[in-house]
Amino acid sequence: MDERQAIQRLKDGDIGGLEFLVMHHQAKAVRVAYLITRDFGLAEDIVVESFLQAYRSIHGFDMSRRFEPWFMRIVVNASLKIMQGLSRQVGINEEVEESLWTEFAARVNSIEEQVEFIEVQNQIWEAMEKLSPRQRAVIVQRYFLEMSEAEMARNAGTSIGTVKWLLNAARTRLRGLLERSER
Amino acid sequence: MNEKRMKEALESIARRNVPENINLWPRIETAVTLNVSPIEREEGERRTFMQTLRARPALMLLVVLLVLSLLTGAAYAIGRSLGYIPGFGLVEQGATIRVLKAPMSVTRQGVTVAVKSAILTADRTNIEYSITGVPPSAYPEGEAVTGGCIGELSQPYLLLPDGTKIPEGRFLTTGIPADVNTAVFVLPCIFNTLPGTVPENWELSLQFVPAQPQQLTVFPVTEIPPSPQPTPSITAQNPLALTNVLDIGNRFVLMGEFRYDVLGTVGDNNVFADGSWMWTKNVRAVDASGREIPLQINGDIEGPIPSGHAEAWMYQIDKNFLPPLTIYYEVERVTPVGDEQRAEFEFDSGTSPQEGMTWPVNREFTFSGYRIYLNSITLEHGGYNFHFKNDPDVSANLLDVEIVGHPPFCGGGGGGPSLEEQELTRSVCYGMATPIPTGKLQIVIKFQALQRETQMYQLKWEPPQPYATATPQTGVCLTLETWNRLAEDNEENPLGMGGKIVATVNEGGMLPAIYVSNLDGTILQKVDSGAWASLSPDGMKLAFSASDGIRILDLSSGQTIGIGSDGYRIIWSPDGSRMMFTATFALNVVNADGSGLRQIDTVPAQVISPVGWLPDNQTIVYGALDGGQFMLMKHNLQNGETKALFPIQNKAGYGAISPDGEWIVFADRIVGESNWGIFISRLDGSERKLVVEPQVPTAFMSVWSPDGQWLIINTRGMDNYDRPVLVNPFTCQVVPLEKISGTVEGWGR
Repeated sequence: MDERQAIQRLKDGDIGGLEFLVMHHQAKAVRVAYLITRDFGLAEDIVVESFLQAYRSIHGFDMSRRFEPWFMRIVVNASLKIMQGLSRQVGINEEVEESLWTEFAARVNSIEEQVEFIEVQNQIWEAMEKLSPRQRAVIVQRYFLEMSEAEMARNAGTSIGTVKWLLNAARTRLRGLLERSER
Repeated sequence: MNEKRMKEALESIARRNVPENINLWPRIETAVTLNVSPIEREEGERRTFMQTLRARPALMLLVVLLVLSLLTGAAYAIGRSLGYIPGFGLVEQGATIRVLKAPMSVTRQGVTVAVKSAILTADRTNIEYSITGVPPSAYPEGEAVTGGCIGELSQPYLLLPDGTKIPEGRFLTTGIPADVNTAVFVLPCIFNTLPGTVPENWELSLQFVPAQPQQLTVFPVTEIPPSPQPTPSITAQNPLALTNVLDIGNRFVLMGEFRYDVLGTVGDNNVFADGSWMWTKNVRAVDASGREIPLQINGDIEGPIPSGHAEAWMYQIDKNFLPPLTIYYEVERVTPVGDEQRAEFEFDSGTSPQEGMTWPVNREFTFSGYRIYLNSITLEHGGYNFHFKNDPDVSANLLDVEIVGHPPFCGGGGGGPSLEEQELTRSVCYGMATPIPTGKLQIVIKFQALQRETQMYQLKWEPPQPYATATPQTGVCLTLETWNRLAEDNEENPLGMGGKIVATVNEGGMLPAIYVSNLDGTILQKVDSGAWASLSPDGMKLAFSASDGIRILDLSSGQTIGIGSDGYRIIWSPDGSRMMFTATFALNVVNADGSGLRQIDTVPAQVISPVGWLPDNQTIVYGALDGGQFMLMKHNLQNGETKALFPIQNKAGYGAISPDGEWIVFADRIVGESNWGIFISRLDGSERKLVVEPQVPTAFMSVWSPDGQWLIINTRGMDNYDRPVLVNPFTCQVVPLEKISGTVEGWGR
């Protein structure tokens, strides 16, 4: 059975098709959710929920398209929704966060060639904690899922210009944070 | 950092923290099987997605945070007088609905459990709660755990005064008696946390009160017979039928069927007598202007149950379309051509093959004139993968692989769409419990030629004119309907209002551009780039946040001074002598010349958000994040006196005080709505009035006119462009500001 057959089976009501999809996509999906939420348990919950949502809406899936981007969109959106819900509780809100990056905007300097890879990883991880969930999501979509800006715009229902802006803001802030951590 | 290294870094971080051998299937399978498969659904028993959620021990945080958007509400029933609560579903019109008197939260050792809202009807209970602050170290990281908070143990429940326990799993099917107005929300432990890592036995006392109109939007539901016939318009040729329409306020819910049996004799699984079957490729709706109308999923209302050999569908659409509406239903009919063909060969994977191994095969097969070339076999997660390279169009047919004597968990047939893929992979997988066969294996390649034909069906629907629109909440000035009509309104600035406007526009740079103009858009001047632009009341000075901190620009001389401090949400005092701003956790005041910077002694809070000044130039109002909401506080800078006003729920704590100090405008959450509404009220929270309904997409920030009679509401259109709108919250006059681009952040004299 390949992926299309799995989807067709699922459309026909056979959950064997769903198991195939779960087996093939769960690890990457949990990683995506984890990179956005930074919470492994929450990431698992999000992916379980995302598969249930996919199961529920599989009849609307266009079989001429690839499943992974469609499904990862669900995962990213669910992660964002959760984080936005959480932000109401803890005050890590997007509007506040997005304002903070101005603080770092002028401190951009390329540091990429200056540090060892493993050190960069740790810094990235620490720096990503300081990004807003939405900024983390665009970083994950662009660099981890390797989506084009056009795909990201389509998924978010927004313009490419907005995605460019978000990406630039996230990237800028990340660089600013990374540079700061270097000091 | 280049993109490749960034990806590598993210990959490495993710792999370090998320194990490869993760297995979510048991949880998903349990959830799905406790629900019902689509096939079983056709047999009459019908459960909802929420029953799935209810049956699951705990998806805890995820579910509760999503609960308002995922709830499947009361089933639709003809002949009942119904109301619709967005996010909750259908309720009996006129029924008593209760809500939470006040949100409750408890924080212990950094972990907060909060009950944010509740909706209680006679037969359903909906509690929205959240758990935050759980440290990652409290969760297992792939290690075997004995005990811990899982299953029934983790399920929260409501404890009623008479000792009755209502577990979360029964919330949606259990009503709390009308004379019971208190309950304790009990959370025994936090799901999936390791023993001893976070506090347990949480209890929050809840009080329920009858919902006030401003707390809960209940849209009257109108059942509209599909036009032109009052009954399903199935014809001998058209299997597409509209069976019912619900008017739920600003949207219609369309229900219908695609009837296979109209197209021929149909057997089990909707397979036609000639062995063909159909699948839905796409559904679209287009209005009379040719505009595609987005079809939305409504998770609150149960869809129709298909009768006989049919597929039921239900979509929700916004009302802003030009009738009639045409629904296009694109299906593909797949017909087997000729008999299934097979080829066999032997494959030896050895006695202990390892994941990641590859065996070259390099064999060619010919089926129905197609050349199919098997390159290799690999052993990957859960089974064998067979990698083919084929003639074009092979993938439009059925190509399958079996291992003789080892029925796979996920083997079998199925077709793909007509794509000219020349590299195909077929998997034979064995689930989690079945061992993967090894050694000498007999492989069968199966091929079934298929003929594919795309068919398009359509139906037209003419809604009743005029639309039966929802009764707006009393006094709402800007409804979605009004807002949609504004695009056709050419009446700009009819009152000849004046003053300077400052707006920020994203132009792709690192910082938004700041423009100052007249209200009608004339004398446009790009003054700088920055964020949180704030115009002094006399319109002569502009403060904004730049990369090097807050700057103050004299608009007449062009001179700029920096105050040497970062900050945002800058608000001028009425006399223009001072400004206040926040640096997230602290509130600061500074003189207009940049001197006298000092931090204000506020109440402790996770976030402090400035709101405005009173006309005495000494009293400020700010929002302090307290649990799930911002408490508005009034603070006198001279004597330090501080008084709590009332709470608002918007995630940034924004509000704005009218120049006369009598009114405050703010964004606030409405129970049952996913978006916020824009309200005004007196400073003590009285005379609260909904000015902009939540269906209108707005920013949190609204701006008062210098005379305090008008508001600029920052809305954003479907095209993603800002559409600032002038609204008089007292007379409800609404005027578009089509010539102003960007987000309006201030209005000076």
